[in-house]
Amino acid sequence: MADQRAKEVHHGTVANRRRLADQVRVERSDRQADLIWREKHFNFIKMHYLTHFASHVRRFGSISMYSTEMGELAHKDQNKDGYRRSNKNEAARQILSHYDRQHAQGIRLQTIESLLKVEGVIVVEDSGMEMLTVPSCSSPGRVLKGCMKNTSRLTELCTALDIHYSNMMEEILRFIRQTAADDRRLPADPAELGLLPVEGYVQLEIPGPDLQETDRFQIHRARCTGTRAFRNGGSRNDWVWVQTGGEANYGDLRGRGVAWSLAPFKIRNILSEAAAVHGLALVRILDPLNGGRFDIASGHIRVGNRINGRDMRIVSIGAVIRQAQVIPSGEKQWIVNHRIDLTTFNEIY
Amino acid sequence: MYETRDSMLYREKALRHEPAEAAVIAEYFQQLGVKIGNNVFTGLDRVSPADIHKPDRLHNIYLGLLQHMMEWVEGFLKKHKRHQAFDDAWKEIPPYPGFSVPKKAYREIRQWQGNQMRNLGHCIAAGLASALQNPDSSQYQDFKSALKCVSVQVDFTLMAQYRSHTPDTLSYMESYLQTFHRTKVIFLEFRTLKETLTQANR
Repeated sequence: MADQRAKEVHHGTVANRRRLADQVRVERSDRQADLIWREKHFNFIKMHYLTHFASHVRRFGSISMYSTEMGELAHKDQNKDGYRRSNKNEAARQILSHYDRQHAQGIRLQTIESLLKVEGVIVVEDSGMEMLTVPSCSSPGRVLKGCMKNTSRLTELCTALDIHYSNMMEEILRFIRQTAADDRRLPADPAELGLLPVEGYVQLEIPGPDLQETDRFQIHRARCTGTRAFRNGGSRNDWVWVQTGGEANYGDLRGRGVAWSLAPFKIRNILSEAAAVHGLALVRILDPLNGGRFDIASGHIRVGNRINGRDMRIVSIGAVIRQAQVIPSGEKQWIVNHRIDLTTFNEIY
Repeated sequence: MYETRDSMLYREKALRHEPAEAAVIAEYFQQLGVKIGNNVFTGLDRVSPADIHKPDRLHNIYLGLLQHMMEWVEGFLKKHKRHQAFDDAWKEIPPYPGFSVPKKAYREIRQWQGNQMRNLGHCIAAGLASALQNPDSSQYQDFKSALKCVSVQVDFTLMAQYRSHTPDTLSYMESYLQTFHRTKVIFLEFRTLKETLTQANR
């Protein structure tokens, strides 16, 4: 309509023509905005489908995962691995027999595993020997791996980590004072502590029960390579959750603190008769901001560097719960990603 | 408790039910809320009738919901000029067991695979929170509701992964969905189809 009007008055004054052209332009952009606004919606099938998830679970049980990965992996197991192990000459038969053998071995292992669960003792065929077995559901302990060279005393460990010996000694004494006084306890004398043999490690393996399957364990491998490179990349010092206090502390974190793992180490108390080995870890602990509560605006918990007071701390490796994931956000602050796995999601909410 | 249903077990029990007409088995199925009988798919080769109607997480959530969500999030970041901050946060994500660290910046990834989307689902909410930090007063409400909307979608997907459910977890899932519908309006402007845009520019 506006276009018609523009044609009718094309012989009008310049100002008139300009005014009309402006009017046409405004009307067109209004029309476009209106169309875009009318056509915007969230009504598409995948959005609607979500409304059926809960009722679906009620009727048919939990929702399973489908993936094409299984088929593709099977192709590798059944054909590619077999071909690689063959002599490439009339390979079909060799591939078949290879897969057969692998399959039979797998079945045999499964049989042994299920027998272990039932009895706890199995008789090894032919030899007549009895093997006593540990029930597979007992929780495995934490393991230190990757021994660092030249860290046989606390002084050497401090040099390797580039930290002050006095700070280390102060922290370790503080840790000792918190432990129970028995014959396993480390000596609280700095001179004696300095003589004890030490081994520094670069990896702490932390097994934790799987949330979904009670008889399986997830193993977290917290790496602390210090300044050295990890697998041809940069250095890697992982974040970990450390139990620092009771459930009432730290708000929604319930007594857990985020820490940067510096060095797990073993120290042997050769001065006492028990000669107990202690697994300890040096960590740099972060302070939760806002009392460890969820930030209303971002919906996440934030942690930050300690501004004053000691941030280095010695903890027993038993207090290291699992790895943590934090994402840098601003100057010396991090956001705790509690949605990284189901276990963390289930604990922090 | 809503656990994963074992259709093989049901089948075995139903087969025993036919000749003997045991009332106990009928009672068992009554309690489960399952009917005994065959449908049209029974007996077809390589077809498991128990799995046909199930929604799958790969296509519905990772390649469906999350992929759509990322389009809106991209539009939102572009509008508020936080694209670079998001890319920076994306590259800083540290490793975690079962999570492969993204090697490329977010905008460099051309094609998304199922497991990449799963990875994304685990870190998108925190990454976005990092990219949208320090809003000015005019952005505060927008950022807050965008983060809320993304977070509840991720929460929903995480809870959908539970192998067994209780009435409580199901009510959580429903409440996440309701919150999403309450807050989704923030992303409405990024839901314009390409067809509409061409039509509007005609």
